[in-house]
Amino acid sequence: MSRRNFILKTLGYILAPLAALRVQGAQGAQDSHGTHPVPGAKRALGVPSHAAELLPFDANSLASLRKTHAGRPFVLAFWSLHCEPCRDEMAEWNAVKRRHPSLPVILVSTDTPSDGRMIETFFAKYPPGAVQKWVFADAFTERVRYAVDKSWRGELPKSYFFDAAHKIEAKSGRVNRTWIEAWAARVSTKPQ
Amino acid sequence: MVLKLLKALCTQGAAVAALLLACACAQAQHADHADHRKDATRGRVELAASAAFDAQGVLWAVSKSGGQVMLRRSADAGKSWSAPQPVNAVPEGIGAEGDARPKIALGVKGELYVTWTKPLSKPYTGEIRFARSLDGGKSFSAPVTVHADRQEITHRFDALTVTRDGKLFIAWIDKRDGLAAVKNKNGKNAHYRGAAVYFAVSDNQGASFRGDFKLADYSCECCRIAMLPRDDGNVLALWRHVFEPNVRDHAMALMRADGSAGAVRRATFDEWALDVCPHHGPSLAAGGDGRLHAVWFTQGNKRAGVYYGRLSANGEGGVDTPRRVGGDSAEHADLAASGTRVVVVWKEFDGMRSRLRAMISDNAGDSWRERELSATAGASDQPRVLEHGGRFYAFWNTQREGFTTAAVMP
Repeated sequence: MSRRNFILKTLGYILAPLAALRVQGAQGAQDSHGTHPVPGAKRALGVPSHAAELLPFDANSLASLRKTHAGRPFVLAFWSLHCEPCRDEMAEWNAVKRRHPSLPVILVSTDTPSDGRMIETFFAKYPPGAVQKWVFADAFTERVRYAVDKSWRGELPKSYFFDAAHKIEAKSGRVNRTWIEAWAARVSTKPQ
Repeated sequence: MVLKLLKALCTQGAAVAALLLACACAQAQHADHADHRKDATRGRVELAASAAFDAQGVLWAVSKSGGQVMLRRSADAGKSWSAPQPVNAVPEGIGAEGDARPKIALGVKGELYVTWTKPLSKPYTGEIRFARSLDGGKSFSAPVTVHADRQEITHRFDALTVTRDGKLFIAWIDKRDGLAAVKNKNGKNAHYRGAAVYFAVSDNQGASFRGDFKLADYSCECCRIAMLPRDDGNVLALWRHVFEPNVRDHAMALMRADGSAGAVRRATFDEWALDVCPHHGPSLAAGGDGRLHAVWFTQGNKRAGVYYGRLSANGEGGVDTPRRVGGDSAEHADLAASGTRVVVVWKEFDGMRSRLRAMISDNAGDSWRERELSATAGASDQPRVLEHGGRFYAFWNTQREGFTTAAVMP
């Protein structure tokens, strides 16, 4: 082993765990798989920012989102730390954001704001792309669910696809890529 | 000199990395404990609770408070409650999300048996914990982990029951087989659906357990398991299964006291084919004529909502014609039966309040009448129906009212 390689290897041993710690601390500011950076989500490494990052979702939030995205399609998707199919679905949202960067994807965790640290650690591990990140901020979860969909009994993942006129198509369970692409084509969100 | 130091560091590199990781873990654990303490001030409402009557009619309830399971007793069927006392002296994680909650069952000599799931550091992982009191709740044994398997994987959604001869059965959702299938990708079990149901049996009031017995492969991952003790000392279980390829309907099988498992039978036929977490397990009871009664939730192709169905004594053939329970927002139904009477309770949100409703049959499920028992304008737990001495009660923990125990029949 050359002296240079030897020193680099040694530094690697010391720095790799430190870097891992700093990525954890970065609360998902970058894709931990290193495949691509998440646009618009750059933050200083090591700064705990989950409290500011997660937006509070309550019974009034969907009405606000409809106004914000008036005349535009968007996706509203609910997930939880305790739902394994939700984890698998994160790769799907990542792919959606890659193919349709201008399509707003709003991910709402049905956990609580006190789970913020775990939610951001989860996003660091399963990066969903440049999505909006929200969390249920009302313990009266029936009220929140009812405001979104009167017949949603809490099963997850649960997704709502709003076209430009905000006509909704609801999907229970893990979304199918072919279906999403067909929907995206219908609402004229062309792949980039 | 520098080179020497670096050489030493290189050989010790792994140890340094391990040390740093250990620090990180300690930090994470510390943060976890801090989160428990902060729960009350950060908007989390802890409502997950369970209750059971003892032979004398005293009602016992357990609930989560931070890192402790708390026990309370009521001598007047829930009108008043004793001050809470901790079951586990040393705080630890207590699973209380979705269908997870601490549970309590009574032994034949008044023993108090308590189980809960202790989440571990990785998502979806946990251990099934057990503690007992042999002195009427005055003191509890130190909690033990029920299963021998100690991998950091899913052992979650504990369920417990006691047979007439005093044997204690604890069942849970377990992912060891799924993990083994992943490790052995070239094997024929490369694709493993969901998780498995495992169980353990104690013949000595919970002093020790025999296990880890597998009841069935391919259960759904996050729904509670219903357990029904039979007269022969075995226990019938009903759970949400994952039938091929991804149909999340229900299955049932017998857990025998010797650790063997009966045949897995399909119980519901709704064709809910989806990769989904329903967070909505079934409930099972037996009537005086031996027939079985079940409630469950589905969003299947054939029907969607909460449903009641009746089965033969051994469950063969599955449920008869399912009957819908409540309206579009009905959820988390539970049921109990005694003689010819069957009672189903559930909650239903009307836009303002969550209503606690009951459906009562006096002829073993042939016909039904409905009653509203209570309502709350805040967060609430899943309701449970309890039976003692032929009387039925709905036990419901709400943010505003606390423990509510409503008599189903006035």
